[in-house]
Amino acid sequence: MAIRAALTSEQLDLSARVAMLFRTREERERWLSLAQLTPATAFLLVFLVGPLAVFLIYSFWVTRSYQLISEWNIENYREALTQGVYRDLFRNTIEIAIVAAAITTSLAYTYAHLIRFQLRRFQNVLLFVAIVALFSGYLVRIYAWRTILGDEGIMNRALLSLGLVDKPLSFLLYSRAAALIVLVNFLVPLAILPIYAALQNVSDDQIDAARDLGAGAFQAFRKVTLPLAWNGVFAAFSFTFIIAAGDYVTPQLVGGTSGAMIGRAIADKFGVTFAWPLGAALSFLTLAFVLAILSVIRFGSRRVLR
Amino acid sequence: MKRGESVFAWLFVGALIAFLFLPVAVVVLFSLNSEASTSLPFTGFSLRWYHAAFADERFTSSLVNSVKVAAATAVFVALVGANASFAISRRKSRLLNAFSSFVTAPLILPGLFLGVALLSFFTEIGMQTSLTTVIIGHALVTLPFVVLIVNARLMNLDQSIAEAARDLGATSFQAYRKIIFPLVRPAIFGAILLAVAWSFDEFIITFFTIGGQSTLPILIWGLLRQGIDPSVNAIASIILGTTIIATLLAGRLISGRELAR
Repeated sequence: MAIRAALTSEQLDLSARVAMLFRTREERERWLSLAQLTPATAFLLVFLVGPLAVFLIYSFWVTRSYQLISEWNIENYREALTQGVYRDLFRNTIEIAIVAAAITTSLAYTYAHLIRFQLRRFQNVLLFVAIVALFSGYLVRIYAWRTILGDEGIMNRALLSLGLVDKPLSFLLYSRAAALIVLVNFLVPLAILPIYAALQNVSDDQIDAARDLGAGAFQAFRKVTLPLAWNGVFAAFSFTFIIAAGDYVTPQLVGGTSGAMIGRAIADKFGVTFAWPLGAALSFLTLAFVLAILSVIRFGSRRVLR
Repeated sequence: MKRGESVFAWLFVGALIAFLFLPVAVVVLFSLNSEASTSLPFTGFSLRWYHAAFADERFTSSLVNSVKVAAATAVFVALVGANASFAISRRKSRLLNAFSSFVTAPLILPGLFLGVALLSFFTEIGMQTSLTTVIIGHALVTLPFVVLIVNARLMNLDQSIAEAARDLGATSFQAYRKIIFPLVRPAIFGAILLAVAWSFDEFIITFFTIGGQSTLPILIWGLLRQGIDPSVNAIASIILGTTIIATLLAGRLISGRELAR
């Protein structure tokens, strides 16, 4: 009896009893994996695939007197592509997002490169600083820039008191430049992570070998480091481009007219103007434009970086 | 390394960090200003805007909602995500690779896109928008954090320790529960903290899926539209304080390298 009691408490706990249902370890592990994957898979199928499917379907429907009606058509896409207002917004969005992504990626690359190769001893701390920045505010950050760049803001006050200008520079806020500054400000930390990860896979030996064979610092960078880290750099550029193109808080809070972007028009379709199908079509077109541009860059960079 | 190079490196790195944290510093500084102005010159320190915020019922109810959403999101994604990671790490297969990219998909979609897609979906299936729908939206984006972080930790683990445990007579389940899980636990808690930090600050998805209720970022958005209210800075600082502390704590449990992938 004593042995049996010991068995029940020690070996025959619930997990062991479950384990005994299956004969081999292989079999047990397969069933365990399946059980562990099911909740995540079910959740994503319902709440990721489901919404994307409904959203895609909506883009082919119409609204009539504030009702969604399943009358299949491609009017929304035609309207989105032919109306001047959306064409301008698309052009603005792509221009702003691509410039923001390029600036962001360059700054992030320089930061990651410097902490990986020159400030090695501090790289963990400096990487962590970037991670803290990544989690320190989105809306808060954007709104803070209004305090910094506004007519009454810190920047203008400083310029005025230094006597550099005699009236506030009103173009600092509500402009394309303001939208770019703000986008870059919250995108840089996001871009640092994949670039740093890619640079970690570039070994010092590879760079040393290039230098020993007579490559200058720039040549070693151009021919060895950059091609090896390119996947990370491209990932950073892609993330930041996609997120910048889809942002709507930045253009709304600091963008003004020259910094107007499609995100705001999309958000309006789901708010004040009840035009969900058109909003859905605009969303899918934005994504399609961005992905098309990214594949061109991907293809082009493959030929250049050989 | 040449001295000049490292001076340049520090200058660049320092300037970029200053640029990244400038807005954070501005918000916190003006939350402590004794005057209602959000511009220089700074007139003196006071906690009046924090008192004003806490005296406001809209603030306290939004705070409670934010805490509820962050907590529920974190617990849910930790359970679902960590389990998925264990399954992914156990064996390599093309299907599991595909699953990994499937999990991380929400990270590469703009928040606006996810927000309006979720709103459409909830409307279509007749689900009322509420804090529950917000939690679903937040879980969608924080699930990849957990899976990626826990996976990174599992990949760094020496698989032979689990084998050793089994050779010594442990069942797979016991090896998993007594050996692997305790080693992975810090990574799970780190991921939970980052999920909390992200959720507490999230605005776009929340905006489209919350219905009539409010969280702290939603409250800030409302206040911004009403014109200047200096307690916005205090509320914003409370969000920043929470997310930064959560991130710092997470940094003690997981390494930057496990995040930079």
